[in-house]
Amino acid sequence: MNSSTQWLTVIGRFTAVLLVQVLIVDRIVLFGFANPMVYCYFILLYPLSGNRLWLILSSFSLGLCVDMFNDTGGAHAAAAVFLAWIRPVLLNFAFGVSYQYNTTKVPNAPIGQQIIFVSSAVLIHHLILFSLEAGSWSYWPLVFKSTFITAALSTLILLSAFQLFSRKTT
Amino acid sequence: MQQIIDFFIRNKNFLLFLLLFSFGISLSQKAHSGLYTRNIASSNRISGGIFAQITDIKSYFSLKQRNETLALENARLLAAKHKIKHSDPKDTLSRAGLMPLLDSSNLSVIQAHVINNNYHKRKNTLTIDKGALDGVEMDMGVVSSDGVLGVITHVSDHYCVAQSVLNTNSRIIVKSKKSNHFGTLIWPGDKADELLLTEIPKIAPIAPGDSLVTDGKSTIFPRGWPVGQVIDIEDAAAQDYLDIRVRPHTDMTDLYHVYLLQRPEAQEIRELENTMTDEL
Repeated sequence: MNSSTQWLTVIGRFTAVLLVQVLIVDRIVLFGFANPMVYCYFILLYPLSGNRLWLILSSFSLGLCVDMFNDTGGAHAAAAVFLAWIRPVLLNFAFGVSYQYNTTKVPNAPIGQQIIFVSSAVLIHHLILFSLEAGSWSYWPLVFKSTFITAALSTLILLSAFQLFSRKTT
Repeated sequence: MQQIIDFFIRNKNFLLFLLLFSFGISLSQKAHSGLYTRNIASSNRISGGIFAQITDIKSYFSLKQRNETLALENARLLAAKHKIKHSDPKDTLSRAGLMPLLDSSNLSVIQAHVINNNYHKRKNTLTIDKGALDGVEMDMGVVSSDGVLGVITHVSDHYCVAQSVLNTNSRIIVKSKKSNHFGTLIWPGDKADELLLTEIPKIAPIAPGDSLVTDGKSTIFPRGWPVGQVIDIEDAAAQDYLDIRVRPHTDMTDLYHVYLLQRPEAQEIRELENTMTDEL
């Protein structure tokens, strides 16, 4: 894949996940509190060979756009930029050091490794997001409840999306 | 010098992350105190416009149900109007029950639609399709015909954002319909159909099933606007006040037609209170 198509993929994904999140998924609230976050798709699937500086910058802008639609100030932006920064550590944790050398993509990895990668990423992201959104430690039981249940939902949706939208051939 | 530049180049990812992360946290803290940065509130042109479009399309699918609700509201108003016309002017007691309707003569009302509503967060907001150009101002009250919904906290040209009653910052003074004991209505932060009335003294005659109305002491809501119903009273021996669980009359998860209220005397009251604090 040459770099211009890679850029187009990144920009296309950015717009797509933002619109899907704020227009469709934000209207789905299960059990009265669980609102899945699917925009992590962009951060998790950002090209492994891509520039890290751009990943951090674009994740922040993506989070800020979601904040804009949700009136959450900068909670999504902070959580997204943290996930973008910690991503190499999680890749290492889930796929081993080898991820840096082989050209395989996340959706082609064994499903067990994918689950570890996505669920750990989503848990960290949701914990930061819900803590900032609650704004006070007095809500910690609620924060943990929403973190775990929403993270389970988000992981399920993200893994299904990986299977649906990834091209197996490349 | 070279070393310092090298340090920055080597750690540019981490430094950028740290900068953006702390910026994000500070923005979210600002949002908690209600200070939205102008462009990060959902009332801005882009998100407001998108929400308005979506709501416009979605509203076609619930036209019948909305019409039904409005017709019921109309019927209630007609009945109340009839009652006022034929009531004895000296019968102040039954007139008192109709106060919110009589009051509405000196109340400015803007009809509006909720274009984005959330209720699963701790600081929930409503985005509304009317803005400064339609006469919306800060601190106007947002109500439906049968309940109090929130207070305007941010206004742009075409849209505004209200702090929902389902927001842990929300404080609304309400009283029992039967007596003048008043307390503060807050939201504990979890269930969308449950509010908490605090600071009602233990001697107040209040029972499950009682209706609660706005008190009118604040400049935001007129006196006597319906709020909700008492469902449960918790009498903790250790405190002087009752904790009362309240169910709002309006289903906060399904809002569309709303009214923005402004009491014309609000400006005067606020000015008067400001001069008092200046003198102190």
